[in-house]
Amino acid sequence: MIFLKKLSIHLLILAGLIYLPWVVKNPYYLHITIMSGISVLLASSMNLITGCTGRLNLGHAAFYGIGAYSSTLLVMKLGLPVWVAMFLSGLVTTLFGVLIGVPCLKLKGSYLAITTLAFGEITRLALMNLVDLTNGPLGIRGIPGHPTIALSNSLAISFESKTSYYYLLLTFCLICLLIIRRLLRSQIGRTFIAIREDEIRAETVGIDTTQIKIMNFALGAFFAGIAGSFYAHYVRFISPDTFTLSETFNILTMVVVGGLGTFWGPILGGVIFTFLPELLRAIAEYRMMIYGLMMVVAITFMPEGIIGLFYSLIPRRNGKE
Amino acid sequence: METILKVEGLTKNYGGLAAVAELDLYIKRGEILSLIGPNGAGKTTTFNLITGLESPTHGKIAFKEIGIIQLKPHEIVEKGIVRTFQITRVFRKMTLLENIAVAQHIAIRPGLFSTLFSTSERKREKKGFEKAEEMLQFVNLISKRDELATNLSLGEQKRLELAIALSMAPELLLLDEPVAGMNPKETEEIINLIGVIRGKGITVFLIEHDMKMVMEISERIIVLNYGKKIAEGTPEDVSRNPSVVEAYLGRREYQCSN
Repeated sequence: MIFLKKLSIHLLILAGLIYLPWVVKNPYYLHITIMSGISVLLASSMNLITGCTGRLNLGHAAFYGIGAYSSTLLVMKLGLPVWVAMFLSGLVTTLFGVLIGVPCLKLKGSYLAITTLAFGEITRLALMNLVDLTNGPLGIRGIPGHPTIALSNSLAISFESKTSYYYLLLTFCLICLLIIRRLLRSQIGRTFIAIREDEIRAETVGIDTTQIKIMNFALGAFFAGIAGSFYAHYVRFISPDTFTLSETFNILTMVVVGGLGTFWGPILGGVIFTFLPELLRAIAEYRMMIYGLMMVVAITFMPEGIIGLFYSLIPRRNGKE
Repeated sequence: METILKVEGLTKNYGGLAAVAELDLYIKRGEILSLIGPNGAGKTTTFNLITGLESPTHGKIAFKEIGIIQLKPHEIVEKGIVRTFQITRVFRKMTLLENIAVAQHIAIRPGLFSTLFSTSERKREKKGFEKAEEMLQFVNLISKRDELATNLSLGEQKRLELAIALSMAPELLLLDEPVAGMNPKETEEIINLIGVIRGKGITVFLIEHDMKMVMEISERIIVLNYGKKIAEGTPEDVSRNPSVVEAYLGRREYQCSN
C-alpha cells in the first residue's frame, strides 16, 4: 500500500513535469525552469559531499566551471561531438574531484572549507588568466548547442526550442537523480552518513574511509561537471563570472534550506532558489539580505530544512507508532 | 589452545609520558581476559593500539601470528578484531537497523558500479539488514529497530554497540567497559550476553571497572598501573596480589573497614 501510494505520487509529479511546457508557454518562464533543473543537479551533487558526508565544500562552483569549460573546449578545440564531450567533461571534473579530494582527506570542518574555498578561487583565477585557452574574462561565445538526434529519415529531435531543451534536461535530471537516489540508499550512501556521524567509528566497523571520501568527492564533482556541461551548451556563453564563490554560496543555500543530507531537500531548494531571485527582481539590491535571513531562519528553526519540516508534519512513514 | 593475540614490548609515549610501557600479553583462543587498573593506567590506549587507532612508539602486536601494527583500523577489523567503545559511539542520526547494516561493509564489499548495476550487491545489502534484525533480536532491541540511535538510553546504546560489534563476526572481541554507568539489572543482561558470545567461540578481551563482573566472568586478569603490567593471573591470584590491592583494590578494603 505505502509502496503504491509513493509510486503514484512519483508518477503524478513526473506527469506534471512532462505536461509543464503545455501550460508554461512563456519562453522566459521555461528558461527559468531549465535553469532550476541545472540548480537541482548542482544542489544534489553538493549535497552528496556537504550534506551526506558532512564535509563543507566551498569549491563546488569550481567543479561546475570545470565541467562547463572542459565540455566547451573539447567541442570547440578538439571538435568532439557535444554528447561525447558532455560525458567526458563529467570525467574530467571527476579527475579534479579526486585531485582536490586527496589532499583534503585529513581535513574537516573549517580547515576543509578554507582549502576547498582556495581551490575554487584558484580555478576561477585560472579560468580568468589562461587567456589562450579560456579567452580570459571575456568568456567564450558561440558554443555549439546539442546537435539534432536523427531517429529516422523523417523523424528527428532537434534542440532549437526551449521546449526540447526542457525535455532534454528533464531526462538528464531524472537519470542523475535516480543514480543519486540509488547511491544514497545503498551501502555506499550509508557509509557517507557513517563518516559524517563519526569517522573513527566508521573505520572500526571496517569502512575504508579514505577510499569512500575520495569516491564521495569524485561523485559530487562528476554530477556538478555534467551540470556545467549542460549549462555551457544550453546558454552557449560561459565566462569565469558564473563560477564564483557567490555561486557556491547560492548552491549551499539551496542545500541547507532545502534539507541537508536528504534526497528531496536539494531538489526543492534548487527549484525554490532559482525562482525566488526572479520573483525578487524588483528588489534585487536586497536579495542577499533576504538570502541571509532565510539561512538564519532555516538553520535556527528547521535544522533539517524545508523537507525536514515537511516530514515532521506528516505522520511517521513506517506507520509503527 | 592456540594463542590468538600476542603483544610484545608494546609502548606508547605521549611526549614524556608513557601511557603504555613495555607491555607483554597474550590471549588464548576462546578465553575471557580482563584488563583492569585505575583510571589513566593505559587500558583504553592498549585497545587503541591493538585496533590501529593509534600507532605504538615501539613494540609488536601479532594476531594469529601475523603482525598487524602497520595495518589501518579497517584492515584490522577485516582480520577479525572488533571493538566497542567506552563512551558509546553509535551513529546517532541513523536508525538501529542502519547502524548494524552499515557495519556489514566488509561482507557487502560495495563498489560504485556494482551499487548501480548489480543485483547481487542488492542481495548482499538485503542480507546485511537481515543480519541487523537478527542481532537486534539477540540484544533485545528489535522493538526499536526504526528508531534513531540518539533516542536510546545509555544502557540500550551499550547493547547496540555490542550488537554492531558482534554482527561483524569477530574472532577477537575487545569490550571497553561494557557496563560502565549501567544499573545492576542492565549489568546482569550484559554479563549474560557475554556468556552467550563466549559460547559461540569468540575470544573476549575486556576492560572493566565493575570488579564483581570481572571476578565473575574472567579466566585471567591483567592489572595495569601507570602503563605497566603489575600483575597477571587468575581472579583469585590477582585479588590476593599485594601490589594490586595497593594500586587498585585498596579502595575496596578501605570501604570494608568502615
